[in-house]
Amino acid sequence: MQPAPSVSEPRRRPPVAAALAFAVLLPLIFASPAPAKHDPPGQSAAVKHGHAGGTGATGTTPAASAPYGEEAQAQSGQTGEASSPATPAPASSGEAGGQPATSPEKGKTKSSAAPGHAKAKHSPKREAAKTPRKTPEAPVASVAEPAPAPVTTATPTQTVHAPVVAAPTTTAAIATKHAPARAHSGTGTSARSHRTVRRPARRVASASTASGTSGAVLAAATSGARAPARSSTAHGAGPSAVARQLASERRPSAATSGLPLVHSVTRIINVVPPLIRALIGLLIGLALLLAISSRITAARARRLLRQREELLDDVGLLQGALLPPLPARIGPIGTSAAYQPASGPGAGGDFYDVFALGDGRIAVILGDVSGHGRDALPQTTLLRFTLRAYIEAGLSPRTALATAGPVLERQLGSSFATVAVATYDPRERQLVFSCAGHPPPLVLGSDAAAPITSASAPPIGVGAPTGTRQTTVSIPGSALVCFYTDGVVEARTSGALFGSRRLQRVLASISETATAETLLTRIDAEIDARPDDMAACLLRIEGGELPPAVTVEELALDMREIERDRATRFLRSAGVHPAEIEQVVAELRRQVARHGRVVLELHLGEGAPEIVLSPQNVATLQPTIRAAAGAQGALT
Amino acid sequence: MKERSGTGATFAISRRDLEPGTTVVAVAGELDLASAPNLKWTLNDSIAKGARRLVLDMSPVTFIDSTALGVLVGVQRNLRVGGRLALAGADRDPDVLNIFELTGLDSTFDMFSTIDEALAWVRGSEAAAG
Repeated sequence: MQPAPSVSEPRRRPPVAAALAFAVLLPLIFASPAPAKHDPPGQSAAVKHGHAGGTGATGTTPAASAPYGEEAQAQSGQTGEASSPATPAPASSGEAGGQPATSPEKGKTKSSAAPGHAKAKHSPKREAAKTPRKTPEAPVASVAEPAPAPVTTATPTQTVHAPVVAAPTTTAAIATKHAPARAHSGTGTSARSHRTVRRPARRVASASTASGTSGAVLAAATSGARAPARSSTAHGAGPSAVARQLASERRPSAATSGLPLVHSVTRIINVVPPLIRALIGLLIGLALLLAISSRITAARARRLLRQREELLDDVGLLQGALLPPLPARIGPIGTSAAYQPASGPGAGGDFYDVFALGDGRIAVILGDVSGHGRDALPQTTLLRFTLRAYIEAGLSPRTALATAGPVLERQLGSSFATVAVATYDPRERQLVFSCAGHPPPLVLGSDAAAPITSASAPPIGVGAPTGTRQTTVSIPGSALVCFYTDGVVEARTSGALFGSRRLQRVLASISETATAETLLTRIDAEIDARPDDMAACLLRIEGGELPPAVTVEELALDMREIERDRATRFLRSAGVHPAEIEQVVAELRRQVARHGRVVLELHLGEGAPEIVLSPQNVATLQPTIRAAAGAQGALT
Repeated sequence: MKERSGTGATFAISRRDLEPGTTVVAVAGELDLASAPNLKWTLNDSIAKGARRLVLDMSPVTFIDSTALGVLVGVQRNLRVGGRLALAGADRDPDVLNIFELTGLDSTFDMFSTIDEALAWVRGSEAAAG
């Protein structure tokens, strides 16, 4: 009964133990080269016990920490015996099963394991009942029964090790597995060790069974027990080494049986065909490979993450060039701006800027460069800073656009740009804006009529003079001014264009403290598709006591534009009487013929619009600045 | 700005070559982000095949967005030397006309109410150029 397990186990358990060992080893291997530390104790313990009891199960407890000692002992007493009667405790139980009278010493030494004894008596029976069925070698193995004799002699060793014995079963398994592995291969590669462990184990089993001198073999093992495990295995000293191996092989099994779960797992694995076990071994190897590769991948991912952060910083800098962060207030004006890139292919190209001018006014520039994407980046920055420079130099929005137009057109290449430029003077409470192919800002809260959109100025870069239109509106009360790019109004909501009327509704519904970010978020919630970038900029102007003043609409004209009836349409939109339009156009022709370019001013207030014609030359920068200075004088 | 239904689902384009160098491209429906690439290819292909007098018949067009306007600007630029682009019937739909006015592009494009007027002008330009 006893020998049966001792012979058959080596065959069955090594793979099992190996599997468990690897399962536990994997994390250990990756955590640190820890296994090395466990090796020596595992070996020595295993070997000694192997000699002592024939079942190294107890000896396994390589790392077996002292605290676990007693408890472990008790456990090993129970389970160790169950699997292999030769263990210290098992040894006694083995006696209980087969040779009860063998050694009273054991009884003494295992006084602590006494409870284990009681149980041991039952467990061996159970095990014995099972194992013979599984292993046909059982009868042959019974030859090994003589073994007890040497075993008993070895008992002192057992007792010495008894406390150390029953380490937590798993670690025990690892240790034993590992110990032989090192002994044989010395490489410590778990996959290899697995194999090397198993093969010798089988050889041992067959050797012992075939020769029928297993008793002698065991005896040899026991005698060799004193020798350090490493040296003996290193020499490969015939039967003794083999026996030691066998012992160390068996130990894990006993150890694994220390826990009920492991025990049952072991039993389940025992009935698994060798092929499947080999497969499991393969899988473990694979898992090992994967673990290594995942570690490498993780390192690479960390590096990429670092690079990404650096890139995002760079992108943030670039984006800051186009979409600078704004203070919540500039002087008495609440300011905010927001940008949302297109969901489709047309990303990039929108830009804005809001800044204070030296004289207390604030300026807004918001636009959109065609030829979207990263390609538009250089043009977009150029546009923003060129316009800003002209505005800061003191030009009015219209003059800034008229002056920058030809300069920028040369730089834009095949692109063109639409842009709105505005200044707001808090003392005069006047908003002045000029657009180039761009929708005019929406002004909520002002009584001013909607700006005239016929005869609007063309974009920058389409081969026509721009900066031809400018609107000045008084803002007596509190007002919300919204600049936006066409991406906002060209967004689609249930198949329809979002449109400026919807934008106006959303603007009217957002709270007093809402920012441009809130606005775009609200719009984004209402639309299905965002084919273009959306940018918006809000100026929140608080109420004042000034009475509403007139609105001034300006249109700069040359002969070509007069020929195209732009003056006529412009005047018609303002509600000027047709007869008067005729007179004005005739006068315009005379003045344009004389001065080149003439500005038609419409002062809209109560009653009939007042019409003023004044020559203006923007052909060169110098006169433009003088003209601009005059315009500023009128405003401030 | 116009608020109209349709997401480019209705778009048609056809090309008719008259005498050598003169081509009429007719578009219908909505000129937007979706149809702009088709419009761009057709017009530039006509130019590549020698068309110098291009008339774009827009009378059945119900909507034009900034992307399609950008295409027209580019085509006009390509024709700037020795060629002419005329837009016909863009004033048929008030919304379309409004977009041209709002963007100020009515001052840069040569727009005519009918194809005949447009053709007369582009042919005249050849005479003027020649």
